Amino acid sequence: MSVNDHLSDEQIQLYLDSTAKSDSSEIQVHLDSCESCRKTYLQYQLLTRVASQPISINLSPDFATCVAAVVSSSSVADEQETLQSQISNWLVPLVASLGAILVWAYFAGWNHFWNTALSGFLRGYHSVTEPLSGLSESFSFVGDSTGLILAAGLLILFFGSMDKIIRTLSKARHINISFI
Amino acid sequence: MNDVDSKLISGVLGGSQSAFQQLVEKHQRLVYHIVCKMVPEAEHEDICQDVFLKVYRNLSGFQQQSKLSTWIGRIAYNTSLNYLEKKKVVLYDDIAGDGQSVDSVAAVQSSPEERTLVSDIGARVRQEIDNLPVKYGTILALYHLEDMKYDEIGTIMQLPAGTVKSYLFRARKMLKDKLLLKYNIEDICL
Repeated sequence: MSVNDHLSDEQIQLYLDSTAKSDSSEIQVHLDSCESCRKTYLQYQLLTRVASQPISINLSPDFATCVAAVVSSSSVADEQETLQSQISNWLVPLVASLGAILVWAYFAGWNHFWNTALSGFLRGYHSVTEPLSGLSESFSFVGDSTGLILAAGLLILFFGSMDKIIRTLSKARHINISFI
Repeated sequence: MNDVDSKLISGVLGGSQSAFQQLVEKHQRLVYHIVCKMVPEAEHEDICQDVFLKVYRNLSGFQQQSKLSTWIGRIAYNTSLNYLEKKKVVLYDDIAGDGQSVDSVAAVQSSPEERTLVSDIGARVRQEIDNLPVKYGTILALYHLEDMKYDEIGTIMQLPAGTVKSYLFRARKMLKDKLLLKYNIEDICL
């Protein structure tokens, strides 16, 4: 490499970054003889030296302690939130469903409610048990009142499930709606 | 990954608050360098805290295929990037941080007052480093302050190692050219 062929910026930077500099290398020989390239090399050397100087870390001395405390408190909050969400997912819909049935019963009149619920259940009960007439005698212990409780339970389960489905769908779409 | 990091990860995943505190102390410098370079105008401590909260929440998903520092650096980088995207900051264009192009920097000669104010050559260089486009400044900081290799920086910034090298060289050349244009050539040489 002649003195007239100057080194490129990339060559100089590569040489500067290389950990194993050799005095006998072609680049070093050129730098020793070419003032222009040596000047550029010294400029890059200055830049890298300044860029390597540590900068002051302006974080509060107890930064790590504070972050650990925040994380700790947020973990407790997350656990509480999980528990609350579990409760709200099932308990709230159940209570609300029961409340809805009671309100309906109040406005419809208790007698009407009982009649409707009872006859509805009996119709369903018979439609299920008739095909299984062979087994009906085995379930004869299931009385009307037990059937009524079962009907109420099924209603609650239905409303609860609907609410759960709608909550899941609305959460997936990032909208806040609920059936109940 | 080294044993210290493995123990820290096990400790944090086991619920140890002191292990997490040690993890923060060990990596806060790296996180600060990235955040400080990428979002110089922001409240650094808040962003750094946000980074470590993300580290805590996602640590169980860390595959340990890369170094912990690289993984944390990537979270810091992405968090800063999200912040910048909200602020619509230019990341790569060859313009100075104050919105001046390289050419316009040449046109504006520094006043005597300014030259007195920034009398120290090191301070001048540092000032110009701070004015570099965000990603160039970040690469410069990771390479020179954190002694990271091209592939480690590439992992953090989601760039090929060759691109990191190219950007690093471009950043230093840009820095040199700006300094030569803005200040007296003899000042820049030793």
